[in-house]
Amino acid sequence: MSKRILTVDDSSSIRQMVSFTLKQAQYEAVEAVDGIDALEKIRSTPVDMALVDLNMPRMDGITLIKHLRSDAQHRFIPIVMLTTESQAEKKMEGKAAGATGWIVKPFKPDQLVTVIKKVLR
Amino acid sequence: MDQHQFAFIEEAKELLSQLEDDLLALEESPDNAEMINAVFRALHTIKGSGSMFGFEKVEHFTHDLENAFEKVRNGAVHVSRELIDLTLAARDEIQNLVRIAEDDQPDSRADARTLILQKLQILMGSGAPAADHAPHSPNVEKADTDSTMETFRISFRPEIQAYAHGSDPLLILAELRDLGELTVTPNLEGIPPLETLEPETCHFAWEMLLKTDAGENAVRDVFIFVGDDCDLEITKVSGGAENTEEEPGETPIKKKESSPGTAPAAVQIRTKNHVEQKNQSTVRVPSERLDKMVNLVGELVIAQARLSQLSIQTGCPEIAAVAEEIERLTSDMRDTTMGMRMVPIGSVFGKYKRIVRDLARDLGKQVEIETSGGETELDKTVIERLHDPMVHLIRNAIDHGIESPTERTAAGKQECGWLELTATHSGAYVLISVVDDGAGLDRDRILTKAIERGLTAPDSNLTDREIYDFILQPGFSTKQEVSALSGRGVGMDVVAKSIQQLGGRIQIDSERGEGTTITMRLPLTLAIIDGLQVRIGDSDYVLPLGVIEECVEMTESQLVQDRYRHILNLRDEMVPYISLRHLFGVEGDRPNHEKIVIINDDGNRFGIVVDLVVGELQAVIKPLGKLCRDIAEVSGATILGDGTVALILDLGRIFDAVYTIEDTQKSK
Repeated sequence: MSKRILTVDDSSSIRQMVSFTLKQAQYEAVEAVDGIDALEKIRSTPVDMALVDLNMPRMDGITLIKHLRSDAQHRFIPIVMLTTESQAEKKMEGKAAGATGWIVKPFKPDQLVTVIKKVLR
Repeated sequence: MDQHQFAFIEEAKELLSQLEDDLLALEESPDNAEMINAVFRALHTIKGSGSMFGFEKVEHFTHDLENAFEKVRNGAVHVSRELIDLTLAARDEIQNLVRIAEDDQPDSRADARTLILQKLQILMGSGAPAADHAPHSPNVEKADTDSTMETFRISFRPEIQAYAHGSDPLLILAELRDLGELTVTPNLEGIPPLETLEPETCHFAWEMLLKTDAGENAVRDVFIFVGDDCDLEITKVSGGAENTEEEPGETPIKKKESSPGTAPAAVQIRTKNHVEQKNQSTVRVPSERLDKMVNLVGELVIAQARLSQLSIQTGCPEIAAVAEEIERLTSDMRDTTMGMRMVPIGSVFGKYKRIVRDLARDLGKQVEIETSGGETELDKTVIERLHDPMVHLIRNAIDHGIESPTERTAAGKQECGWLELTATHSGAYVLISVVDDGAGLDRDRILTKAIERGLTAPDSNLTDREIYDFILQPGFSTKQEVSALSGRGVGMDVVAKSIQQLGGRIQIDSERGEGTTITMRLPLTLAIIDGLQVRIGDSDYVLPLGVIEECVEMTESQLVQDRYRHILNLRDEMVPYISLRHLFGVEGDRPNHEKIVIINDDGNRFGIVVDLVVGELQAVIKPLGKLCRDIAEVSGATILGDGTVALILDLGRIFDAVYTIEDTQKSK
């Protein structure tokens, strides 16, 4: 069964590109526009991994990661931050919240797949 | 351009439009943290997505802006009028960049952008936006490949909470194995006794020897996500140019651990959404497809009408049942399809705010703008074609209507002028008004000018509205000097014409010294309407159902004798009526029992006398050709079930035409 990966980003073009890449790489893609939407989407169908943008309306990425980490179903899934911030503190904040890794925008589809393969069995 | 880039352009347009609204809102309340965040986020997303899809210029330009707003967000810089001005100008430049990318045009605005950034730099003070134009290097880039084989000793102990971060140390081992020949020795020393073992914590460690030609950077890259939190030693033990002796632990290339830094407090301000997320369950469809769909539904409606007609002719109950079912489905489908084309007018009201702001500034006037009824929906085409007329009316209102602050103070008004854009529903129409509290129209001057130009007789007895309507005539301007903005006398007639082409009408109300209200009355849709089919002689006509109150039999006893008007007594109310047979000069005898359709059009209540009321129908509006374009009483034509053509009547104009003529006759 193919792994289900959640992409959370308020930019529709990024979501589209990521989902397209995921599908090409034989993953199942789920999209959410922000943290709150993400929590709603995974309530009924848990995901195997999450790609999370940090800067989003309503609920930002860090808060979402904390929520996911306190949820029994998603406590141990890989969570990769999609970040434009290359600054260390933002990454560290994300890691402290429970993120597994990060990928800095702009990234190429094959870079994304490399990162996913790195953290997802 | 690939589909992702196309998606970015669409997204950027939306974001830019939102950004403009947010900036204008921010100007009104400069301390609104929510708005500052919204602006920052919009810039951030444009930059991020721009870089993703290869819009480098967009990325670089937006990057500096984003930095500036980051300072605002941190409280280092305050929102000022200049900052808003610059950011709005910058927004326009981003829009321009997106547009030239879309149309594949050369970029001629580089200087303009540099200028904006320079100004921004000055505004931001010494801590200017860092011109960090170097693209951020992705962290997963391939290491320089070193063809020589090297051996690394790797000592790896993941942090105890590794699982809680979603990390799987075995994946790292697997990845190392992909790089070359790997020997793994587990180190189980850290595992506590079973009774104290927390199964969700990680106590394993590994000692490894890796023989690879991938280079040290590639080896380090494997640990990129865990490197800061784990115990990791990577030592080159052999190979490469600097062949060192195998002395484990002596020259370890140790990665320094850094404690998680805390971000500045201002960055942690919780962002809240100020607009409802609108794209959660929507599909973006090219508008040509919608247009095609509407056309198809139009054809379907015509075909369905034919089917209904045939089913009546054949008299077969089974066919009649199917025809009825199809009629119902078609009607539903029509409503749904038309609904898809409806767009709230609020989406364009925002654009006008910007125009008002810029124009008021250029003219040295103060104008406050208010909008209401933004949720009123109109056909997308109508809204698009409404843009130019609206801009013109707004310009007029600010240029000619609203006075300068000094004039206003002298007139005992508030310094700041007031402009309101409103939209409301009225039957099958939408009323859009541009209201200002300016000087109002100069009735006498307009009349004098109209007489000068021979548009009316000097002794004619005209109502205020009729006089104001003269400003809709081509080349009619009372303005002495021509300004760059308006007042060249080309304009109001163009506005009137555009509105007319949309099947609408303009109404002008004005009070000297108090202000002017210009109301555009527009049909909800341009494509299909609900109509009432009526017959006069051999011809059928369609009346828009939205303005019809009722249909009654015409009896002699109802008719009131009046020398100039035809008046009907309808349940003790006097209602004027118009005979279409008479108006259209239809030959032949009147039938014994004529019908009167009672119309209530924008407050004008009157009857239309017809031979026969055939019934309701959905009329697919087909425009008339050039020859019939100037016949105001007819707004279009439609094809009936039997293939004949019926004219669709514009009852408001028929009323105007008849009663203007009669009034003139009466006054003579």
